[in-house]
Amino acid sequence: MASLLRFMLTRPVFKPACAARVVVRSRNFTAGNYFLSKKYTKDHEWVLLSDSDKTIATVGITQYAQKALGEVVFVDLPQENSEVEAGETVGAVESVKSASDILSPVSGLVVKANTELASNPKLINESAEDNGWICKIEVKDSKEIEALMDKKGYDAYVEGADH
Amino acid sequence: MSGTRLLHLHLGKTTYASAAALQKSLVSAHLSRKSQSTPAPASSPSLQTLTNPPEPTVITSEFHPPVYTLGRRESQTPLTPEQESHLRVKGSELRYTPRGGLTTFHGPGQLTAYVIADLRHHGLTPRCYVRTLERALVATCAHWRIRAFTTEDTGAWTSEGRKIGAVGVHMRRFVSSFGVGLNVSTDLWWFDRIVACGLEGKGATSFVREGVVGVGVEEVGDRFVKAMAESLGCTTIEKKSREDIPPDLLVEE
Repeated sequence: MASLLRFMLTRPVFKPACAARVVVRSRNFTAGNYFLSKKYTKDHEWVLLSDSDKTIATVGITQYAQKALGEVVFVDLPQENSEVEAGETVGAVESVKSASDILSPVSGLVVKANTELASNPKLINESAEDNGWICKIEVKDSKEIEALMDKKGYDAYVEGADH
Repeated sequence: MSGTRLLHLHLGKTTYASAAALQKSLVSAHLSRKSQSTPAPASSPSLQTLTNPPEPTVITSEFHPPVYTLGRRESQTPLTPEQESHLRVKGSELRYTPRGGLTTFHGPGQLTAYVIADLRHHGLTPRCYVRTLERALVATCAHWRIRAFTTEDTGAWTSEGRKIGAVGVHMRRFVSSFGVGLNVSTDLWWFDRIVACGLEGKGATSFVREGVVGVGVEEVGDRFVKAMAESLGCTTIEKKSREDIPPDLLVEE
């Protein structure tokens, strides 16, 4: 137990020179509650109930994540009509020599994958939180989404992660 | 002030399957430790005694039999039978992996080092982490006075067209796996048969080809681990050899 605590409490002495620095700009909220309803995971995915019935969630990786990854060269997209559980792999983003799993923020059925990413993976770098969405999921239980961080919470989380 | 410890698991001559199994256990241990809200699944007791809590860990190996590994992109479209048989020669294996990068070779005379670490603990982004691996490769080469450098194309190079060390990693929730291959006395014939890492017209090199002979894969591994420990801010290294590793962790489930 003591060793566990030591592990948690000690901070690395070394500070890498190239740690991520992402400037989080304040958003303009005139677009109604669009941005307010977007939710975020600790693993840097975003999810938005995008239709009027609130049953279809659009999922992607955040601006912070795309910046941390660097130039995206390949996106491993999920199969349409496949079931996913929250926290399971729903795809992967490959930047230079590193492939990172994308975890689904929500359980449900993948109804659509963003096939544009197959031919243009850099779309993630250009528009991670909009045109670079990964997939759309028919949500089983929207409460899973409510439990996630809102924009304010996520920004604070990212700022904490930067130091 | 007590610094973080780095665990060095030296497997030495081993199959790809054993190294991959050990890596899998370590990644699971790191991931379950991260999900603090949910209780950690009962990972095997032997793993807990091996590394409790999960510390940054490097597995060093020299793969026997030789193996060609494919990257994540290639795992989507399986090889044709002709391509497969081309890669299964002289007893070599063929493995699909979830790492980044494309086809490469691992085998006798090559140090293969897998690094399992929670990059968030070390303040490293995936992009930074790949550079950290590259720098550790360059530092390792420098110890034996081999001048290696990095280029636009990832890895450690000794000339425009010759790569001595390759990088390919996988990341899940910022927990890294896979890592590097560094040619010490590798028979470079294995690389001539493939377009390694998708780079046309580029070749491989090794310590031996660079004029450094008589160096063992294990000592090169020790040096690489030392460079990684420095980069990750670890002040101590605990090295364990194959006999110290519970055998059940080396078997595929």
